[in-house]
Amino acid sequence: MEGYKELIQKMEDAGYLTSAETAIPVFLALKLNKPILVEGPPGVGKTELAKVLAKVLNTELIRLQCYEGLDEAKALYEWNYHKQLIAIQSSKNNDDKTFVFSEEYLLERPLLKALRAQKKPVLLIDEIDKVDEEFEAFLFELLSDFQVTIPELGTIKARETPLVVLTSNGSRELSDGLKRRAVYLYIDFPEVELETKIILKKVSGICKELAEKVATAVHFLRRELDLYKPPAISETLDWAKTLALLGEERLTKEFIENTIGFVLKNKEDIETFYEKGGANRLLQYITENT
Amino acid sequence: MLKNVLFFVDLLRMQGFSISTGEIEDLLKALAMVNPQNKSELKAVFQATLLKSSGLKDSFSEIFDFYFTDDFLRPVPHPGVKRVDKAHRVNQALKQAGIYREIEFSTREKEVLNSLPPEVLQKLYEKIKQFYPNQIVDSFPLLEKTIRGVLKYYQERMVLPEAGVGGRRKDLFTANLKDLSERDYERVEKLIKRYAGRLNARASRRLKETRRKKYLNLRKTIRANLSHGGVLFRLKYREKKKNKPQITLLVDVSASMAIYAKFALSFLFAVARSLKKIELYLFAEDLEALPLKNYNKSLLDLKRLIEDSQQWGRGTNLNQALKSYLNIAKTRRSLRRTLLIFSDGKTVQFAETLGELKKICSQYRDVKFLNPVPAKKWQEDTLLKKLAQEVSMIETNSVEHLQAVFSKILS
Ligand SMILES: Nc1ncnc2c1ncn2[C@@H]1O[C@H](COP(=O)(O)OP(=O)(O)OP(=O)(O)O)[C@@H](O)[C@H]1O
Ligand SMILES: [Mg+2]
Repeated sequence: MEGYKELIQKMEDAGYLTSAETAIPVFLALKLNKPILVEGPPGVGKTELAKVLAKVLNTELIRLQCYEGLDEAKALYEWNYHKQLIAIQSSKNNDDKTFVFSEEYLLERPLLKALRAQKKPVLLIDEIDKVDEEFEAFLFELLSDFQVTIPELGTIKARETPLVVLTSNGSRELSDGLKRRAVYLYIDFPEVELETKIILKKVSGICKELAEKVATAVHFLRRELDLYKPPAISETLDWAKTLALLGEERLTKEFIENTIGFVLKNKEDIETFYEKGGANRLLQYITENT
Repeated sequence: MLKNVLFFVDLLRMQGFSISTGEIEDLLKALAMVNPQNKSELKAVFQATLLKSSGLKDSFSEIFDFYFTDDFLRPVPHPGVKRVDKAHRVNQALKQAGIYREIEFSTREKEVLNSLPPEVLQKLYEKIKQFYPNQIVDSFPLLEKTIRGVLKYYQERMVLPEAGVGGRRKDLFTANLKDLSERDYERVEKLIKRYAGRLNARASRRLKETRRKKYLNLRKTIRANLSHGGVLFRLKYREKKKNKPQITLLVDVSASMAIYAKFALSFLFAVARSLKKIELYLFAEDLEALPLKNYNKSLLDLKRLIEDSQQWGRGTNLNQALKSYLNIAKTRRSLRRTLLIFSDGKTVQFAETLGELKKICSQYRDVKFLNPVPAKKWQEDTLLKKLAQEVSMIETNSVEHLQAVFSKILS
């Protein structure tokens, strides 16, 4: 890949529309062979980015979903104790039974899988801010060396260092070490123009004009209303799909009021919407801005 | 443009952004890769390499927008231009030696290769020259392994020079601490953090495993019962909870030792979270406690802190210092405490000092005398020879030594 513009094109071909601000850090992470740390509000396409990169690089996506209490046994590997027991019980008495600590009885978890992949995989470590600091330190160490030692099997070193995509919802500060090592990407909600393109790409049977109106409407909801949960891109898409499905050609007051629940997912936010002028104000904003 | 970029980095630092040389190195490489043509491209490059948290995003944006000038957009010379062809040269050398195979270097390996000191490169080439292709056994893999091994060694020890600057190359990991200048500090800090980080990770993993003490350790259980045909009658539990060790460090800050002291403190602080408790004392003529709450101090801060102490630069009286310490410690002693004394042993009242040391060794489970004087010289020096007989003395004058010392304590 020569420049980041080529990357934008390739991602678009894979169904992900993006801006230079997003593509440049991704391009740099690829070129510098570093992990990329992605932050941003929920639903702006952080997880999707990793999926698309795997497509673009024509390689496997390996995903480690983080949660509180995630440990090495779930992230790296574990012995299949159940299978081991059965094997020991059913083998002859005087046989050597150390065979139960072999490959066949190993449960490979995402991190080990990434280390052993044949072709440079994309390793998505999703929502890393959910794990505790100790596990983060362990991850950091692993991402420094890309090798682990399993006492019974020896040291396993990555053939190809995976492209690591770390996402965080910013629920806590990550360690300095991790941040220093990574290229940083903040994905914000897209501008109207980009979101219009996303709608056109993902929703069939919608015209450009209507797509732009939907994008503008969502933009209004996010920027002007100070909501608890601003609509995510996927919610924009749901809304646009509904419009297309119903064969609507315009955004009407009636449609907005009937379907506002598609974009605003919580009760307080819907109340805020009506308090601050409701469908009428929204429609006025759209007229003024398209 | 380079000047502008560095100026901008300084600005960010003044505004409280912490930016390491490694990140600047990335920034310069990134600028050469993207070659930004407009403000928003440039901003994206800066953000990707310098900004690391969403909390600082807005203030970053503000500073950038305020200081952006078109000057920023003139291209920076590629930091790697002069050095790109080393990998190629190695393969050329292989060909000249009659080996018609190439080594495929990874990007990282290329980077290391390109920044190797000339002496080392020379040695590599010589190795290749001496290599005689064997007709019967394929010995190429061995050569390849050797070369990669050398690269790995240098990568681990961070001999990479700073970006852009031709700078002296020093093996910071093994260098004698007294030879490091303030210019090296930032990189030494990084090195210390890296090695300390590994020790921390290891220690915390151990702790965690043992914390769940009630649980069956299935791996061990199955191991222990392999011969019983799967009837598990010898159950193995995870070990009892391990405690974090406690450390007391007595640091000599007399004239001959002051230069070393800060490094020991820096390493100790870097592993602080794997320790239960730290007690710190500086000494020369006498002993003084160093209360420290904030462990996040740079080497320069530590240097200043030491220079502010009453003991700094005075003559050493280890005897007095140990007496004072025993006096303070009388009331609060704990068996699991490791006592580290960091000193070159050049003290007045030597005979009495030996007596005090003996006393301390009998009272503490683990006493280590860390001495920056190279071990080779101990035998020539009558006093050090005696000291080494009395107490477990460890040569400690480099980051490598410090990491070995703390690795033992934490394992
Ligand atoms: N740039 C884009 N181009 C096309 N579709 C997109 C884009 N960004 C997001 N989407 C759509 O939005 C959906 C939601 O994105 P995703 O789940 O990746 O968000 P997220 O940022 O990971 O959210 P969360 O923080 O909740 O995990 C995706 O399934 C995808 O369909
Ligand atoms: Mg997600």
